[in-house]
Amino acid sequence: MGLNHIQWLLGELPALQREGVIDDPAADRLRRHYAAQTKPGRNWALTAFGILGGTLIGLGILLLLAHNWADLSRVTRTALAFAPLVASLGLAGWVLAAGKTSAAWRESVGLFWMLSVGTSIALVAQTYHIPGDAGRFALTWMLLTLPIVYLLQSTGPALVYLAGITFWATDAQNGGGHSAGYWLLAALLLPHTISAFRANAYSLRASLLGWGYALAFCVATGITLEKVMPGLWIMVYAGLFACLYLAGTFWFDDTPSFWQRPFRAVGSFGAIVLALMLTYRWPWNSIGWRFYRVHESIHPWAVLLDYVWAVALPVAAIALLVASVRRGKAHAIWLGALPIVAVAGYSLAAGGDRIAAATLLFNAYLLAVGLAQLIHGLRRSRLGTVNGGLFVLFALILIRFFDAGLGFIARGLVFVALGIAFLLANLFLARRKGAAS
Amino acid sequence: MKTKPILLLFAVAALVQLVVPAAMIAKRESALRHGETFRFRTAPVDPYDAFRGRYVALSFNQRSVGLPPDHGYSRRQRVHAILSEDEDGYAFFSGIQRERPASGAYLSTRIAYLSSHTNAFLHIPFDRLYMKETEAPEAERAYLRHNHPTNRTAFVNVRIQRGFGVIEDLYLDGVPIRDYLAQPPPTAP
Repeated sequence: MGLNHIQWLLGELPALQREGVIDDPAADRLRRHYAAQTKPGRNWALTAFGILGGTLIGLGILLLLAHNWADLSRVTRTALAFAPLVASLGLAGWVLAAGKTSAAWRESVGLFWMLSVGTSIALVAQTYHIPGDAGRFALTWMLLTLPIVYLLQSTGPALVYLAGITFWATDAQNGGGHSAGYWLLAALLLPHTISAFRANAYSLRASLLGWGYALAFCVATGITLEKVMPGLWIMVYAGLFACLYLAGTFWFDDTPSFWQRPFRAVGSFGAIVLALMLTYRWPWNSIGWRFYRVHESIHPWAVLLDYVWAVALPVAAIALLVASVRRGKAHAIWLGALPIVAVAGYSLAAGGDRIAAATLLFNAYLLAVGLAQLIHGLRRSRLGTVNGGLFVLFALILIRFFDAGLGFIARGLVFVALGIAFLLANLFLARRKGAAS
Repeated sequence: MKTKPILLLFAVAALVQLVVPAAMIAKRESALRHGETFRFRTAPVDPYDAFRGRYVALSFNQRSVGLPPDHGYSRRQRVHAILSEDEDGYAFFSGIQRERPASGAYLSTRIAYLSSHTNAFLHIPFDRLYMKETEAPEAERAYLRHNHPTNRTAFVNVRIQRGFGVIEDLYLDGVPIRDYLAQPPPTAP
């Protein structure tokens, strides 16, 4: 049971006792049963300080060794390279053998262990002047330390792993290679993530993994694309953000706080920013088959992955959208429809050079999204949703106000017309409300 | 918790974590001890880009080899560059081939890029020299002075064993860089 549910239940107990639904001993038993789970303060302090301690010691050793003690012999330096690694292996072995299962132990030892492996291979690279491929260094390090995540069941190393493989992908792609293997590397972390979500989808651990995955995917999707077909990223990212948003809405809709809904937060923010970008002309210029890029650095089978994402992500988003609407989450249709609008815009701009139509489509779409959020929020009295809707509308209004691509007269007329429409709607609503009361 | 399989997995992970750096060391120690020594002239480096913290970036005089027409090589292809020595005792690449040479010295590397299909630019797998953080900037300045086209006396010693090269040291005026920095010779008038 999630913490929010427990708190709700405990909050209900006095009323239940008063009304005689349960007797006092039963209420006390319930309170005792959930007491451990509702007092996380001390445990979290221990874990947080443990994480800070393990990370600082590991990073400190890394810095001390990076100074490069050139006066020391190669043998001494080799011994130094292995010292932190052997120490962390001893510590981790003891933690495992002694069955220390608290988060404080698992996280701090896990991070220290992970950093000590990095230290060891960095020092070897320094001693023997191994050339600078920072990406390959990161990949070796991450693969060597992935077992830590599973052995200690620790989340800190899992997040470092996600960051490390994303760094490798960036480096590989910049160096003229490809990074399609990223998705395989990211999948290696899935069993850990799934087990964390199954244990408690609302725990800090699951939330952190969710944020890590959501943010890493937003970065990595763009990096791993081979970008042979200009503009394909529009559909890929529209599909990705819609998938994140809809997955968050579909599976984790009842989360109590913002921090516990990483998928919905990242997905909706990304979707809105992408849609705002697509109200400009520049993303639509020179896209489609007619501008297909040919270059010897492009890897044929990595290109295939571009097309797979461009089809799979929007299709997955539409499937999730249908499922969400069927489950009664009709409000998800607005942001969830982004891939459909993106495909329409892409066909307009790539198929017939109707760039103005594509930008107009996205202006209309954002206006609809903003209004829908606003109305949904007002109906449900949800201030967050109202503010979200207002944010979308004001962002759209502001960027159009400063859009030098449109004439002053056109902008002025549209602004005045929209303003009148809002005031009329207000008048109408006020009258209806007055009539109703 | 199932302790036994976890401890077994721990043992395997620990072993791999120890073996990987050990293997990195062993391969390079072997080259440094048993490899053949080659001198590579270094070329001027871009002073704005070359320095990234605690190492000196090295740039080599010769990075490309000429190719016959219809050579069939492609970018990033793995090749073996044949090593020869000029009359001054400096190493140079006299050609590349796909198969590992049965005899003679060679460096295994990749083609970085092809230039108008007549030259292959090679990726040189020893392009930086790590130094103490305080000495590295000085070394860079001294190195740049020495790489001036009229004053070219900088070279690196590289030990090469079965196509694998490890830098031994950087020399300025024939003196190892750390000794040179400890006692720089008087600058010529």
